Amino acid sequence: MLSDVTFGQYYPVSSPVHKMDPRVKILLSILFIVAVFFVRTYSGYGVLLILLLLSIIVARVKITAVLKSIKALIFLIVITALLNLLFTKTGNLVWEWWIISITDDGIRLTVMMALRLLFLVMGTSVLTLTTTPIELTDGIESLLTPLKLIRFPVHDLAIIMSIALRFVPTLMEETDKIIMAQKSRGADFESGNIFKRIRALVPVIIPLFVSAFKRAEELSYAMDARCYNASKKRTRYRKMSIHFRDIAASLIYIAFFAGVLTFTYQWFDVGSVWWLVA
Amino acid sequence: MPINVENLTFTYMPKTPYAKTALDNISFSIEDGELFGIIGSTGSGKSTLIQHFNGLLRATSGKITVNGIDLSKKKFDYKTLRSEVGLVFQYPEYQLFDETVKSDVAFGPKNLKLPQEEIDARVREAIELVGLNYDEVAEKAPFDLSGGQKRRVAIAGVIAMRPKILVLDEPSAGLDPKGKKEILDLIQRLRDTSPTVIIISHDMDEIAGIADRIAVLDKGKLLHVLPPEKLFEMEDEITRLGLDLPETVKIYKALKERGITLPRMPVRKTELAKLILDKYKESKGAF
Repeated sequence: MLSDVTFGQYYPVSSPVHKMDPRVKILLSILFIVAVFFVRTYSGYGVLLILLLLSIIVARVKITAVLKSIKALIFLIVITALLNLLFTKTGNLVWEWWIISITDDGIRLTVMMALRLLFLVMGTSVLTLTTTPIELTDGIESLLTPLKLIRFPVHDLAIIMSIALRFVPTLMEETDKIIMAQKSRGADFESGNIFKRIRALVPVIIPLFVSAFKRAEELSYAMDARCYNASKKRTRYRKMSIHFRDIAASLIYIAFFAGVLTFTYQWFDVGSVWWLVA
Repeated sequence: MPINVENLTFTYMPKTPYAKTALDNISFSIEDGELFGIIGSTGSGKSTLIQHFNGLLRATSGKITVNGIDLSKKKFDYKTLRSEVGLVFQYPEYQLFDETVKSDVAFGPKNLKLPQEEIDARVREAIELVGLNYDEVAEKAPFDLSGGQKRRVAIAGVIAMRPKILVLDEPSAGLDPKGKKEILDLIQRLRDTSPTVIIISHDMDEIAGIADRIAVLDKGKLLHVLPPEKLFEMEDEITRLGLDLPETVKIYKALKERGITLPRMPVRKTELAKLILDKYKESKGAF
């Protein structure tokens, strides 16, 4: 049941995107997110869609894997859409019934916000689908290195992140096992009202906490036994380096970013030309 | 026939890059009142197989019937199935959660919606059956008990549901020799209430000593279902699968190498002792 949680799960295939430097991938993902926030027109989203599809194709990730990441957030998307639709009062009235009124501004905002959320989720899932958690942490650590100047404990933060990420699958597996064990004892997680269901989780959560604390303690002993010390300068097993593919990807992303800005602010009047062509 | 498995195949996470066939076209059946052993190296699919017996995992293809309940149907009576098949997971002490031993053991019977007096009676019986003193441990927190005691409380939690079929995944793993022996004795005692027992084990001495038949799994395939005295005759096969021979068989072979041939290969310790004693008496008679 927990294997359904595929949001951000690494998709193990070999592709140029998988091989890219994680730092570049993180920065380009941030650029993508910034671009999504700039977009205000449908044509702008069209440009981003091309970029997204291009990234997915080059990454050899199945489109269904990307779409699955939306599943986890569909609730949030629907709720925001409803709120936007119902509580936008500006613009021309399109439809009215009792206290509900829908305006053309409302519809536009709803579609824009829903698209924005969808693009954010899909864009970031391309990053997490093509980058292992370890690479991600290494990348973040490297990008945060300048903060060492203000005595920010970058390495500690990185080790905390990698330990947390490392134990996500372990704890999920354990949860699955405990759920199965309690099911064997007749526990019912699938029926009853919300309070009953929450109560039904107690026999899962308590053993999970007990074992998580035990694991934490054992891990800290194991690290102590190996004289782990975060303050020393450490060497790395995986070295990150910039290759041709990183530069190429960066150029493509920057080009598309410029495209988005052009469509949004209609510099050089490209917008009107676009509509003429279409 | 309580358990009948026909062409069972199970794939983890099908249709993803992580897809893995854990069980591959398995067929066998387990008789009423049988003590059935399952052995195989790590990752051979033993645990996956037993999780099918009470419907925790659903077969990707193939058919399983347990006491007449067809588990390949889309819908079947989970409650009845889980009260008939008691499944004790590996390291079951990690599932303890309640404040007292008593209420933890009562979790299963309570889920069966039994009347309170029945629950109390079963809890007392189960705790006594696993060899603990009810008055001593009932009100204690399960987390205050020793490792072996915790495991017995966890097993009590399953047998309080009075399953007709008891399935145990490595019940003695991680215990000291004394704890191991206690668990094995317990399994023998439980056969009055749960006549059919299925047990997974890494310990060949343990399994050879108690099992009527043993199934050997390797990489998701069922290779043999044989009585222990037949199975452990195939020394090369057992070694090839990364498994070990029971001590009794090793002693039998060592004696043979030194010119003392026992009339048959023993798999139980008492049997070995008897054969050696007979041989000794016989040789004494010759003098």
